[in-house]
Amino acid sequence: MPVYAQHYRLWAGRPTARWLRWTVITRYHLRQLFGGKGRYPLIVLLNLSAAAHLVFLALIYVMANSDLLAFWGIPIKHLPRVNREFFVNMFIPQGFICGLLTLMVGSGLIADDRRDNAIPLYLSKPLTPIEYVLGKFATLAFFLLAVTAVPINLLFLCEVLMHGGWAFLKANWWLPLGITAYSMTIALLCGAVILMASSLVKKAALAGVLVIGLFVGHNILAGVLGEMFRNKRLMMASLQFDLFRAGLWLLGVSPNDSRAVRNFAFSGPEALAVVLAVIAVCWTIVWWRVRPVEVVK
Amino acid sequence: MNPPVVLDDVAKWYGEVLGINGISARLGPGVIGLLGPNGAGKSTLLKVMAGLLHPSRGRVEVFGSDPRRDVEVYRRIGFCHDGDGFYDVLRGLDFLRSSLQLHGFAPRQARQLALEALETMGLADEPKKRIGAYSKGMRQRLKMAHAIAHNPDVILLDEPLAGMDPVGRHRTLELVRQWGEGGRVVVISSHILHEIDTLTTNIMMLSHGRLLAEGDIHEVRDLLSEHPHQIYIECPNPRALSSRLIEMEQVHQVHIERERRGVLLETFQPDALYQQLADIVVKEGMNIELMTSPDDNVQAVFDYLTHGRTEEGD
Repeated sequence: MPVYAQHYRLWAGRPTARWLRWTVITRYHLRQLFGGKGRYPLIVLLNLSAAAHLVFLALIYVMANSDLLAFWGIPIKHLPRVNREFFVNMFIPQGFICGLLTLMVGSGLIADDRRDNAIPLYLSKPLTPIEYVLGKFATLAFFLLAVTAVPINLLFLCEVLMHGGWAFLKANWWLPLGITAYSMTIALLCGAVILMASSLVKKAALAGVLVIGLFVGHNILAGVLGEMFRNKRLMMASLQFDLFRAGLWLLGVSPNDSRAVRNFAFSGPEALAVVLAVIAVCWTIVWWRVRPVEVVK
Repeated sequence: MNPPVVLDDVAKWYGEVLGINGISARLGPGVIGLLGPNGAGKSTLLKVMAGLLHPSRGRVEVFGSDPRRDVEVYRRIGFCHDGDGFYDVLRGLDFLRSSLQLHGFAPRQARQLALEALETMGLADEPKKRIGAYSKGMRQRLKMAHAIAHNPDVILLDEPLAGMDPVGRHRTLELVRQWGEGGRVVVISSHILHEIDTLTTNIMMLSHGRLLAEGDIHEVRDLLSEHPHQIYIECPNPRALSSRLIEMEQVHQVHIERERRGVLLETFQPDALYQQLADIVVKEGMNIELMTSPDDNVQAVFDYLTHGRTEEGD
């Protein structure tokens, strides 16, 4: 029996915090996205998002100075009132931008690893599959929250500051929580759907096509079902409607305040339940696909 | 004290397809050759040891922990997998640095270790070359750099020599030997048996997912008592030597190989025969130029164990 002396030197330093380790994946992807040629369309989209927010900021400014406009004889009755529904409406252009960002950033997050057979490279490190997916999701969430939660909460702050007095804040103090929760719901849904598609295929473009197909497909299905059975509740099959209805509910828009709410035949909690169920199904598929199982043909 | 790697009745099925079955072993420091034809279950066993696959049955422990439950044990495992998984747009240095940060190293430390690993694997000249521009051999070396960069205690190498040129192979085998001598547990798989023959005598032989033999190759050979040991002797006068050998009761068979001026003999009592041969050489002044044992190697033992039924290429 040979005797082996330990000649090699183990690293004795303190490792970085375990709960932060997955951020290496996120930082790596962000560097890749901003360092590569793909940064130009990304910058265009982020600028478009900022432009939409600037329009809403202008509206907040105009409405905060409505007395002055009336004094100068400029009609203001067609301008929207700054209320809870106003903040929900901010999400409409951002929803479109979120969709494009999701396709651009999310399609290759797992598909590229599958194509390069790189998943074992991650999972042979002190990193669980959940942390791996978390690192991927955080990359997309960074962009989605950067165009929703962060600027819309800032616009809320602008409204509070420009409103004069604390009346608006007192009436809507929980609105930042609603805005954050709704933004997170959008990010979770977009992340779950695109990561699911990305984990099913080995080509980023194919993952994008799959998501577009799902988006168009389920909307057509919801429309056909609604017309066929003459039942407006069946529109719940459309994630787009569910998300909007959930947003109205999370931001506390009541049927009395908004015709949009009255048009829906299903409640906010019901819509949110459908969205959360879809998120759960998608994450389950991602979890199942990321396990490093060999396929025997 | 428990050895660093313990496998206890480990089995893995992929649906109805058997990967490995009933494998028990205790792996200590040094180089262990994991041998078997393609499809024998070598990659599956390495992945199970690395915690990348959950065994269908049995227990795997690395330093007393199940790597599937305690991911921190990965800090002590370096795994070089058989696939060619890289990000081609990354530079070698960046790839290793990111990988080390995932292991929990701070950025500066990660960079230093990455440079050391590139140096060890002979890739230091081109740290900024994109991986996509690497040759097959360079990619193999980068995979090994990735496996050893964090100074692990257990190094699992799945067919690391595939695609390497002869110089690269020689250099890699030398490194593997050094890692083993340094006290690490190094498990290296190969279906090319003579590669391992030059590296270690400590082997695990797999066929059809089952462990055929484990331990020192010479001890395994000695246990195969139904197969006589072969001894090849080269001398100026093979005819005279063979007539002398036939008289010995330990000799089972003798073949004269005229073209090579040699004698191939078979015996069931090699130790006694070696002693008697030494006596003949001393007493009778017989000149022997070469004496080897052609079936005391990995290939011969493997052939005996599988009765020559290898599944090469399946």
